[in-house]
Amino acid sequence: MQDISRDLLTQASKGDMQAFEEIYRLASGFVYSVALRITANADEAKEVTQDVFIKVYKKLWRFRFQSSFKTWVYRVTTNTALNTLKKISKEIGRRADYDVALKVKDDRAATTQAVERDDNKRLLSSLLGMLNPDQRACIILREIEGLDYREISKALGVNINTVRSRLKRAREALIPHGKRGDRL
Amino acid sequence: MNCKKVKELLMTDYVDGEMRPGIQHRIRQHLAGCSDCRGFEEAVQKEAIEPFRNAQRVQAPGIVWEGIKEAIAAPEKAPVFIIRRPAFALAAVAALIFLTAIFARSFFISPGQVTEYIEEQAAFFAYLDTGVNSFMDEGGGGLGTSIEEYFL
Repeated sequence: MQDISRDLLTQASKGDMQAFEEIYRLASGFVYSVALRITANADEAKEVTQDVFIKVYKKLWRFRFQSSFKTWVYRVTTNTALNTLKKISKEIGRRADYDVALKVKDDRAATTQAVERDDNKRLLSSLLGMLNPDQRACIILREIEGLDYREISKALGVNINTVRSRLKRAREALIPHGKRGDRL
Repeated sequence: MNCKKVKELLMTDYVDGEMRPGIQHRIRQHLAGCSDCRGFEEAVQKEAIEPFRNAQRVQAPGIVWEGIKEAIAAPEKAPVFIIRRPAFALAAVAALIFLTAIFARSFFISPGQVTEYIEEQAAFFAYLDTGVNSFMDEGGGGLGTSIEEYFL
C-alpha cells in the first residue's frame, strides 16, 4: 500500500471528502485485493471494501498517529474480510470457486495442468482455496502484498511465532512433499 | 543443524528473508552437502513461492466508491433501545416472577392468617432465644407451623 501523508489524513479527518477520496484512491487497491483473495468472491470483496472505508471515515478523527495508518488499514481489512469469510463459510462448499479449489486439492495433477496453461489467476484461487482462513490471510499478506512478519503480526493481531507457524503450515499444504506425508 | 530444522526454516524465515546472516550461512552450508534438503528447497520455491510471484493487485470497481459516498452521506439511524445482554433479560424476568409471587400470596392469604404466621414465628424465635431444644423435638421433629403443615 502506498504511503499516505499526515496532512491528507488530517484533512480527511476534518470531513474533507476530496482528501478522503484521495486516501481511497491510494489504499483501495490493497483493501479490495486482500478482501478478494480472502473471501474468493467479488461481491463479498466489494462489501468488505465498502465496510472498511466507512469504518476508516468514521474513526479517522480518533486516529492519533501513534501507529502507522497502513498498519491500521491492514488490520481493519483483514479482520473485516476474515469475519465475512467466517459468516459465509457454510456456503463456501457450495461455491464454484471453492469446488474448483477442493478438486485441485484432491488432484494435484490438475494444478500442474493449470500451470502449464499459464492460468495463473485460476491457480492462485486454487492454491488459496487449499488453506484455512488464517493461513490464507498470512500467505496473501506475505506473498502478494509483501508484508514482513512484524507487519503481518500487527495486521492479524497475533505474535510473530504464530505468523511463522501459519506460514509453515500453509506451505506444507501447498508443496507436494506435504501431501505425501513428509510433514515436519 | 539437522534436516528437520533446516526444512522448517526453508519454509519460513529462509524464503521470507527474515533470517540472521549467520544462520542463513549455516543453512547454505547444509544445503551444499544435503541433496534431500536441496530438493525440498526447490519444491518450496516452485510450489509455494513462485505461483504467487506474478499475482497482481486488483483494483476495486467504481461502484464501490459510489457506495461508500452514499453510505457516508446517508443520515445515521437513531439508536434503538434493546437489552443486549442475556443476563439483564434474565434478571428482569426473575424479578417479575418474584414480584408476581409476592403479590399473589398477599392477595390470597387473609390478614388473620398473616397474623397467625407472624405469632408462630415469633414464638419459635423466643424458644431459640431461651436455648430450649425441646421445641425441635415436639411433634416428631416438626416445627408445627402452618407453613410446615401446608407443605407436608
